[in-house]
Amino acid sequence: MQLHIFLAFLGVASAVVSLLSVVLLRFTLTRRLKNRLQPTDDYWDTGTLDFGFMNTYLFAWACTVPGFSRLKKFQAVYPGLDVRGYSKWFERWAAYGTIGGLFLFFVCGIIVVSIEP
Amino acid sequence: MTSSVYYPRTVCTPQDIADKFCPQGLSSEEFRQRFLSANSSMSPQSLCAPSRPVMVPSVDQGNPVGLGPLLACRAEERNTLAQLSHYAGGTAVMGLANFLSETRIPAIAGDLNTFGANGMGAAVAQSDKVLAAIDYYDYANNHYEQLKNHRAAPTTILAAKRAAERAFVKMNGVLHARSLSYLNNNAFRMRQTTTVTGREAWESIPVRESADVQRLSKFAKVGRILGPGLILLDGGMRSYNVHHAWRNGDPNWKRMAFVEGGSFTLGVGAGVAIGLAIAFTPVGLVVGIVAGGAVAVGADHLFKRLFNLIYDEIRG
Repeated sequence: MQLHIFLAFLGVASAVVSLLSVVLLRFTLTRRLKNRLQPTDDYWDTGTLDFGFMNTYLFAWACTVPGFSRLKKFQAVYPGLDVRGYSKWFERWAAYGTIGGLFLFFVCGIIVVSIEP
Repeated sequence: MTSSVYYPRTVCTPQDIADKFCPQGLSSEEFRQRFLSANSSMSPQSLCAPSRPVMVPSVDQGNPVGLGPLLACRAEERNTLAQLSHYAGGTAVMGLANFLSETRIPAIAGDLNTFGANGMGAAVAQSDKVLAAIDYYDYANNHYEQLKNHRAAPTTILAAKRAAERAFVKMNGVLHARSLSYLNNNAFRMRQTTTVTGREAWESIPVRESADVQRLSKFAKVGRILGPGLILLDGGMRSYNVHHAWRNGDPNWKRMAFVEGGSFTLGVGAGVAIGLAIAFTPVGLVVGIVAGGAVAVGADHLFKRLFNLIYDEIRG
């Protein structure tokens, strides 16, 4: 198999993993956090038709990049929330799949575009 | 003083508009003549169609501003501007058009359908906050104007004025420091030029020069970024393309369905993920929007390309 075909497979697989992971996170971590935070009005309601996926991406970043939850704006939205500590092991893996899959997709895509005959 | 662009809600005559907008010190008939000369395509018997822009001339009869770019907009785009001006007020629409023009988003988005379903999603929540802030300012200002017109007690008027000023500061904070100059330029001059009392007057969009009209027409093309509707529109158009291919018996319709569905979903996801992450960093929302859009467009194209490679490889 040629290298660019292999990378194309890898790229599409990463994209699929990223999409499946974010759906998994939406129904696990985001759901649990929403149930915990909403009664105290601490859940960030984005006010749009995102079905909770914006919060899910936010939590995925907070799980994978430790410094993300220390950002001033994140603290303004979720003060003192330790997403990584609250998440279960498979949710952390899903978060890595969400963000890592996305980046792997872009890396593969860019390489394929540059080496494709 | 500024002219303004008005999108009537219902069918009306030039006389209706003259009655509505006629400033103090000018007769309604005189203002109707000015209105007709500013809108040269209209005659005294003409009717103004809903959501079709008309030019309301300024009191000082400065250089006339042409409506050409706005008239050339599609009905759908005209509706976007009309609804936005009805909802958020004309000054806010002009302020946002200037704001987006500075970020050069319309030029990119005008050509790329995918941009509608991109990292703008990351900004939608912020946009809703912007609209809420504008709405609150509009309400506070309207309340202040009403109290003034009804000759309320000075202390009540002063309190309302301060509330309006607080709302203005809050709105500017939300709109980012860059928009301050736009709103100063537009909102306050508009308040002076329009003497019609009540909320209706706020619907007209102040324009100072032809460049403003150009910006508005560009803004009309992407105005719906202010809501999640454009994402649905993009998805709808893609599904229409697939349906069209299937109905025409195109053997590639399954491939098209997967590619369009996958690139759309991934484009939205990547745009939101990257745009949101950047918007939360000190870099800020504007860069987040632009980067999110670029990422979404890139993801869309890359996914199509990679999937087509795989599909061709599998099919031999």
